[in-house]
Amino acid sequence: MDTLSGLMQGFAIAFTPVNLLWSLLGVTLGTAIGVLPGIGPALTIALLLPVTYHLDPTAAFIIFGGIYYGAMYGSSTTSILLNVPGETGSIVTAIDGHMMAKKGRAAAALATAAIGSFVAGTIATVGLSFLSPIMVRIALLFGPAEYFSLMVLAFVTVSALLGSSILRGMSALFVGLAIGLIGIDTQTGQARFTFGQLPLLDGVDVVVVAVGLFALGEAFHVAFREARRPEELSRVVGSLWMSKSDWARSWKPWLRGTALGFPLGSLPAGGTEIPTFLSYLIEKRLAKKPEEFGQGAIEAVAGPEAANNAAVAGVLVPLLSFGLPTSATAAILLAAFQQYGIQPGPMLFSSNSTLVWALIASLYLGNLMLLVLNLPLVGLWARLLLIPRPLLYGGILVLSMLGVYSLNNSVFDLWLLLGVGLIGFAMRQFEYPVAPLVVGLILGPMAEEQFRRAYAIAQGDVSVFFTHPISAVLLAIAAACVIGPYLLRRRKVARL
Amino acid sequence: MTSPKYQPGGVQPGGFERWQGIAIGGVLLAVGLGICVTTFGTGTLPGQDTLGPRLFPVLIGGGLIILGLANAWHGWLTLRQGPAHEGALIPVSDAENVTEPGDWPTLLWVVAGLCVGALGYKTVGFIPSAWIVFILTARGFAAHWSWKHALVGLIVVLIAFFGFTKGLGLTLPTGVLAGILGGK
Repeated sequence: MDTLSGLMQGFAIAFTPVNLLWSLLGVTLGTAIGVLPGIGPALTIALLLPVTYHLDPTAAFIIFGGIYYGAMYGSSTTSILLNVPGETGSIVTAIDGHMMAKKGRAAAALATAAIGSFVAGTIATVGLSFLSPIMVRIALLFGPAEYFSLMVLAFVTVSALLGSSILRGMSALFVGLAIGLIGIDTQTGQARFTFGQLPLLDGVDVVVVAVGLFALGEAFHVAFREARRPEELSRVVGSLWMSKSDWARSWKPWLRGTALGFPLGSLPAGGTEIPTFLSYLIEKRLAKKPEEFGQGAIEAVAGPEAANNAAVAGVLVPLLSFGLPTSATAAILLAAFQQYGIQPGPMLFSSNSTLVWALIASLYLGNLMLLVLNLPLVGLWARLLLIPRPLLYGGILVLSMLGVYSLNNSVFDLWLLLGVGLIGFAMRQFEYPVAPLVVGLILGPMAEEQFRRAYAIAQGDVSVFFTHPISAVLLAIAAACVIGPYLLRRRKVARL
Repeated sequence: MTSPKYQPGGVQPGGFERWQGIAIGGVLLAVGLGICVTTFGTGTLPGQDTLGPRLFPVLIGGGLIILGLANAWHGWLTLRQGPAHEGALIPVSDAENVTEPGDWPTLLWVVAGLCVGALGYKTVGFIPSAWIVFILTARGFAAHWSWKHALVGLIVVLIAFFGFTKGLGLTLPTGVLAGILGGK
């Protein structure tokens, strides 16, 4: 009943004409920016943060909800038409989606992605509404030791399970943790690694890092590798209505993708990559024509796209109930929450219940608006992809500088942005994943705080992390995630 | 642009790529050592010796040292035996097999634009400096100067300035245009 009354209260707020307009603005901006090549949801939210600076928190959160879902839709459009996934969750969509587009079936690919995203997004938002309060009850059982171990698990899963190697993921994570050390130590007030620079006393803002890594890193990469390469944009032709056979081949993958995406996205391991890859593999195994996979199979777009959107809603579960971001996008959302002095976590549902439920209600509305916006207007979004690179990247860099400068009205942040951009560029060149860096940066200081709290409560007994059962289990899972892949590989080698 | 296909090995060894593992390992090692040395040189308040603000920096610095050594070792093996692929459970990679050299002039135009923009942001003001960022970036990507790009850039910058200052109430430096636009 609590959930239902909270949700009703949320809808009452979200349904006011002004908030409906904010939601519409959020989904429109999210789609418009998210559709631009190379711009994923994390960067979209980071770039649009200044838009919300002068709004009241409820309106700002309703916009964030819209931007979050809108950017996901935009990103899949780019994957299908341009073969440029804006974030890792859309990589699988790009494989068959772009092949469909090349064969003149872009409209069907976009339609199955949009409807699948709507179905998955709606079911997963229902899941979010009912699961979050339960997770809050679990989160209330967590003390500092359990929180610390949960963060260790998040570190390990984000770094070890993704990317081309564990070593690279861990290296990126530790660079993020090192950047997170900069600033005043919150418990003692001592400045660390500030090099005498006053602007560094507050630490390095996660938005500067996200914009630097994603916007500048991408712009530098394209400038260095692809500025002269012709773009392969597929045109949207034909009706947006899917044929009878398209529907028949899509509805089951949508539901299976949702069933995979939401629970996996809700785990502290989180993220959208694993569910989308698993969905692709499962659909291939179940397909009547598996040979079409890789050549433009509609199931390969429907399933992963649903899994992606369901996981995106799932990621909000640990974020809202534990305050734990498990993807780069969630880390930026957490920064956006903190900008308003709001700390996601178990207390959020009691201290800011109106706001949380308004956010969740706006996700339902945003999802519906996106379906209505996306299907008829897909031609308009596709036209955004025709912006020539010189103008596109000129605009992205102007907006990036503006957004970062507006954080603290500081030119120092612009130089920091450039530095981080060069790091992001180097990471792209050498295949180091950037998501662990962002997660390390935002979770590192929180993990340190929890560790020191647990240590103080246990009066200097480090074994507290292993004697508390939940903490011990979480650490054991984290260890298994690091050692598991090595053992599996060794077994494989031994079998050969 | 980026290929969604997973290509084991990623960047093919050739030129700097051959040495990248060792170079990156060296950088991580240096940063890790720097963190540890700086931390041990930092004074602490009484009673903070074990778990004050020093513990995490030492752990993270230590981790970077180990990872630096591991990267360098992996790089050394790659140099000697060719690229060997490590196993991640989910193969996600947006790198392509890059064999052709990168386009340094374009990159330098873009970076130069950002440097000039950052230098003039407060003194010259948002509109001129952001316009320069746009023009130099467009120059880099297009490989030629274009009045059309300059004009589009000016429109984008003006929309951004007025949209964010008048529409959203943000403060952006007006610089040399303070007399016309008001503010600082």
